[in-house]
Amino acid sequence: MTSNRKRLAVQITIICLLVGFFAFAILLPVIKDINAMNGAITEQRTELEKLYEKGQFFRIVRCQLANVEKDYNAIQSLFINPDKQLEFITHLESLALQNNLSLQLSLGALENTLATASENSLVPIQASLSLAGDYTDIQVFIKELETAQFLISLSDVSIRSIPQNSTSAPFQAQLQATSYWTTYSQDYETTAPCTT
Amino acid sequence: MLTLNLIPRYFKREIQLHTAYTLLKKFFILLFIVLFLTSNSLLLAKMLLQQKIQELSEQTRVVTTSAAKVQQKIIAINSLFTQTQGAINNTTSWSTVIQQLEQSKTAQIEISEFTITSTENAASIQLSGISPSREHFLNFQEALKKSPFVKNISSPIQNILSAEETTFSITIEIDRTTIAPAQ
Repeated sequence: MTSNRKRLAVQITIICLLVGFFAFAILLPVIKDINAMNGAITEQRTELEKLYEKGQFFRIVRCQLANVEKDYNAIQSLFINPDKQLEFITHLESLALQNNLSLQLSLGALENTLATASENSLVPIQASLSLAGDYTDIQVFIKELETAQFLISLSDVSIRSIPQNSTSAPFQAQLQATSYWTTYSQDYETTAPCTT
Repeated sequence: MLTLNLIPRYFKREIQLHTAYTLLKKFFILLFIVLFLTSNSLLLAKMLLQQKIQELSEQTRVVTTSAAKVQQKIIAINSLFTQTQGAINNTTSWSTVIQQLEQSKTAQIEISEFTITSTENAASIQLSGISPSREHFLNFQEALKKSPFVKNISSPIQNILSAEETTFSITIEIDRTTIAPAQ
């Protein structure tokens, strides 16, 4: 009988140990974790509620942004892309050629100014244009320059006639202008169009 | 009826104890099974919850990243629009001024040189040329005064000393607000 009691006692002890192990090694930590997660979920829920409210506003903003973005490239094309300097120069040359004028162009410290310019900005660069030709042609050139593809702001305009006996062009013009160069990103990723 | 209880007292106690132990053993086994099942369920629940939390965090992250991206775009576009507005406001349609100067003069008046000089707030035109007579010059000056962009005209007395053909030189002060931007 004594051995039987011992056996039972051992069995109960083993089961107690197993129960204790399950209770302290698995159950309690899991309950603790779940409690902690409950707190995290509550926090996330509050955060999401805030985000939902923001999201409603954000949706409207996205729609408006998509509408505004349509004009982004058109506005960007007003300014000279530093990677396409030649396009700007040839544009002025062809404008002068169309009006039978000779053109000499000089730009201020373009490289240095662009190198130190910050990202996403418009960089004004002084340009000097010397023209020679007929008065009317110079006048047309100025008008076309003001409404040209690239935004150019004329500050000083000087036109003078050359004495008749001279073999050179009858009029010479000196234009001081500000050209605008862009450092805005050219590969702008547009927002998906608004569907609602 | 006579009931005989021949089991010794010691043995009886042993049997009672055995029954108690067996009951206790069964109880603990049951408790173990319950705990085992509970712990398994809780572990499963924990895993599911962790998964849900991860999903929530991911959603929050996506929304926040997306909002930050849009915010950056808005800042860039606003900056571009503001700078563009500034640049356009800085332009002046000098061709319209030149055109109006042309319209103010008669064919007899010959302009040999004119210079437009402008700063941010002020602008002026220096004009020199040849007039066939004092009368033509005065008419030209009057016509200029009627131009909307003319604020003030400075004309030295030398311009009107001679009644015959004369060279003239005038300075016109321009009201920049009356001239539209170029673009």
